[in-house]
Amino acid sequence: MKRLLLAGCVFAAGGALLGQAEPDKSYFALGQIDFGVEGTHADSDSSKFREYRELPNGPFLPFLRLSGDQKLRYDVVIENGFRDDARYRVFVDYEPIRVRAEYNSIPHRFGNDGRTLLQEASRGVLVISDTVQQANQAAIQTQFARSPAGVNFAFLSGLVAPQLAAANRIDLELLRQRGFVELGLTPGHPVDVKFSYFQERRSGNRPAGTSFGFGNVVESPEPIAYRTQDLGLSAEYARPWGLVRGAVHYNTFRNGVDSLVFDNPFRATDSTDPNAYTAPGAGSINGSSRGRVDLSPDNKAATGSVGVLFRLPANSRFTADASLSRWSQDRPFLPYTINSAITVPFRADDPANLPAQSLDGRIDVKTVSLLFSSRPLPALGFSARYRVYDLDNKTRRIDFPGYARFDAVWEPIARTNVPYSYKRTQGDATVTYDLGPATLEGGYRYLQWDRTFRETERTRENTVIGAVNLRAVQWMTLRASYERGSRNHDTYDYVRGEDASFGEPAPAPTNLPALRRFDQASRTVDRVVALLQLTPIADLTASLSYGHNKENYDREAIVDPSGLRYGLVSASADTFTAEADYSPGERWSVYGFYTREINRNFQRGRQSGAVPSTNPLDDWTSNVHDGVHSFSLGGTAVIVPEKFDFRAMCRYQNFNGNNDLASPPGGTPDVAFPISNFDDTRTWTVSAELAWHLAKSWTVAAGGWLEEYRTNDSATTGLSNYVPGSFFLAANDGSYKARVGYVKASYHF
Amino acid sequence: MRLRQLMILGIFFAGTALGSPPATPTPVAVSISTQAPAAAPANFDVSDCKTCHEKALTSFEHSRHMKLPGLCENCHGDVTDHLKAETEKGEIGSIVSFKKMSPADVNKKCLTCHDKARQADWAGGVHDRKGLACTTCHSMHEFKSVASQLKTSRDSETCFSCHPAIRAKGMRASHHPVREGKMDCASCHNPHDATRPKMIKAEYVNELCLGCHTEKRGPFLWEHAPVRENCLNCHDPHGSNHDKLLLAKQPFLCQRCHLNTRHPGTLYDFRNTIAGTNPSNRAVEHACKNCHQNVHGSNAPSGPYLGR
Repeated sequence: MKRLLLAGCVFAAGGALLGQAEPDKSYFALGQIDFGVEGTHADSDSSKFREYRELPNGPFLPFLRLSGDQKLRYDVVIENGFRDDARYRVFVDYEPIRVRAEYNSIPHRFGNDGRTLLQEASRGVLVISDTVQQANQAAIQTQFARSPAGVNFAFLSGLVAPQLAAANRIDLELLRQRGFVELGLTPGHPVDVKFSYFQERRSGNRPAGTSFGFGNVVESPEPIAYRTQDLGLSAEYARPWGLVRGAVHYNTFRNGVDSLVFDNPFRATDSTDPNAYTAPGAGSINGSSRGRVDLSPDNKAATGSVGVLFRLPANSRFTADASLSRWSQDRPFLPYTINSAITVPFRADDPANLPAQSLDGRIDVKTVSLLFSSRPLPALGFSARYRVYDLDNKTRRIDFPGYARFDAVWEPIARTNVPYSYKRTQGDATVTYDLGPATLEGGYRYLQWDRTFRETERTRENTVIGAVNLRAVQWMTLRASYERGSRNHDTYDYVRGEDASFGEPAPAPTNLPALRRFDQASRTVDRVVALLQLTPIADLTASLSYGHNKENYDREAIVDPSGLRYGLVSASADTFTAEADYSPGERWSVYGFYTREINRNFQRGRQSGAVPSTNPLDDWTSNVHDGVHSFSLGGTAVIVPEKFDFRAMCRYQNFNGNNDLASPPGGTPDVAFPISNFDDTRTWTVSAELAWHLAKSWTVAAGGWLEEYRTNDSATTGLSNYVPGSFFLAANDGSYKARVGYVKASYHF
Repeated sequence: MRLRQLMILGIFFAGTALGSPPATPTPVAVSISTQAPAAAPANFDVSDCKTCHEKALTSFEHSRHMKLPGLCENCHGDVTDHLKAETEKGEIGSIVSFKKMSPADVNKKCLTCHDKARQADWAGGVHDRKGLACTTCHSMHEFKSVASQLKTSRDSETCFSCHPAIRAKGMRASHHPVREGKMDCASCHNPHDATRPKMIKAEYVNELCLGCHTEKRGPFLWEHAPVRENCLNCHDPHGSNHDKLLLAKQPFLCQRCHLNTRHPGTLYDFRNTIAGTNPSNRAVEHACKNCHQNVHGSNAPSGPYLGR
């Protein structure tokens, strides 16, 4: 039905809009269609090459546009037609109706050729052959009986190696299909009413960390079957004195798969013991034959907003907006576990033993936004804002007597869910004053967080801002600003969050007492932005820019006797860019930029055993240093006027990441080995196109590009399917080198 | 899928072919503003301007501004005086040239008609305070974009001219599909807005993110406080060299808040990486997320540690 409706609309639009009219001076009909043939070659099957795009071998339709103004005004744009990365846009203006519609298909490829013992039996159920499970369980039991210590990586790796060699292959990819239509019912009238509908379907899979415990991670392809819909109605009433606006939206999210069930490669039958979450190993070979994780629950949100804007004397205006939202979620809970062997203190796989059958979760969000701006004198400007974002999580609290750890063992540790809430209040005021060629700006900003159930109940950040816009001469503009912020918190109670969740008797706190979580810790922020834009001659524009951002947490009051701070201690980013664009007439032009970035962050941790360590020799530090070079250079040239054009471009980025880890000798870990290949990446692209204007309406072009992506990442490069304690899909999203060539024709009318 | 798309396009062209011409075309009355612009002289015609300004009118003729009753005179003032001065004295006369106007005057002129909808909250915003004119980004006469009459074909090209650090981040391995043309800067930002920090198109950054990542909206049984508070605690939406746009690599990102006893506070160094002597499932691939998969929140009764 929907397809028929869509087809009908398109048919009607096509028929009406291209009905040939008598020529009118303001009427027009334009079109462009690009079509051709493309060929692609890559030296690896890395998903990174086609991460968000489709590059076909064969015919392609990169662009089509039909626009005109006849009986109605219309604009139809197709990009990458009939591909997974297609984008279609339609605009129709037929007084008094205005329609804006878009379909945007976005692939997202996470990795190709992953390998897994799991096979999809049904949506959300991944199984391993019973024969394999039984054989592995028997072999492990035999080995365990012979020598518990013999159940180690070498043994397990040898066991699964032939199975992995014959395992299933899977590409991990997701497709977002986003459709949107907006109907303007009264455009151009004092009351502008719009109706909108959005729908997105997401389908495919993605790699998911599913685990049976410390010694048996089984990465699996999580099925994605999402559907999001949004229905909106908005109105705006505009008059010379100002405007009134309002909107309502109803948004729903539906997940076609509630949970992911995945087989245990090492067990065919359910069992449990206190150490089963470490199995298989010397401590245990028990556990569940299957695991189950909860997937994102269905939820919905309803939002209403109203606003008013007054145009006041002295070039002033006042804006006030408010909104109210309710987010809710009430999908039935899964049982504690899928493991039928967990029967003490009750059958944990029976949902009847849950203290509640669903969450009945509810969050109310209230926002208020006020803005006053004024320019009472030609040289003087003022603006002030005040905003409140109040998220009140009204979800009820449920007491759970314990939980099933990785479906392996019941842990009688009582927990209560914690509905965190917060209120974010911010305000700022800015004054600008024009001194001829220079405009000076001064401002103040504050941000206050009021939180429940967290380590701090209130943090407040005050920031002063100074800026200058300088235009001393017509060909030069300088914009520079500096900000200095300072954040403080009230009492930092590092066990408050844990206390809120653990039942009685509460276990001893386990987090390091001296740690200050960076989102609440006291800090200073320094921020500099400078941009110099030059137009020394009419054909040349150039710019230099510098950005500096540093967060420093060294103002935090210390509680650790060693006098050291833990967690994130500092983070900074410096960026310098030079850019130029030279266009000396119609025949040729060149442009380019170079950007240098240096990012640093420093954090300190402390390694502990069963209780938090108090020994500074157990400390470790992570000093990350990223150096990034980026540049691009391109140009266009008219080789023969109205006959041949040429354009070329290259783009490059080299990212060198290092993590200089350190630990003092004498403690644990005693020594640290830096990671030099933390996240090294190099990408470059070189492209060129030669266009031949065959006739007034026809252009033929040939072009292509070379592209390389090289990555050396300590966490992913060289990953195999089985490493100690883990099965990984090890899907290929690594390095590649590729070339793409095409010939296309373009017809304009 | 492709078959359906082909069918729709086929039907579109069929409709095009079958469309019958209207007997008498009637001009479409377009009213961009509630404040009607000044009427042009009765004998004025845009083709008069085109005689000298053909290039300036090539694209303009296909823009919505072409429907304005006053045409060129709406923005440029008395064109007849300009024509007279040009022909008689070789001077431009009293014509209004936007290139010579201050940004404030340019904006005032444009807002005469556009002071509503997305543009209503321009005054007092950072782009206003920095002295940007509407014509800094938009062109009435030589626009290149499909929508919004931008001077560049993509909005990101316009934005990057003043925000080069964001462009560099967009070149990272982990990025939103902006450079692929599937998203624009305007997908998240309204550059005309003065009411919201960072000009985002939502009341708060989390609501912006949740607009596309609705599966993370919850509420969940087990919430992760910093996730509920601010997506930017862990992610950089403009690009990152770490998986999933993360600000830092796991486990170090998680260890900024979790230095608990046993494994959370443990140092994971080169020895625990893939190339090391003792690879750990807490340091490779998704690191912490290998087990704590539901880091954005879990609705499973056995998920207090976000592992189920």
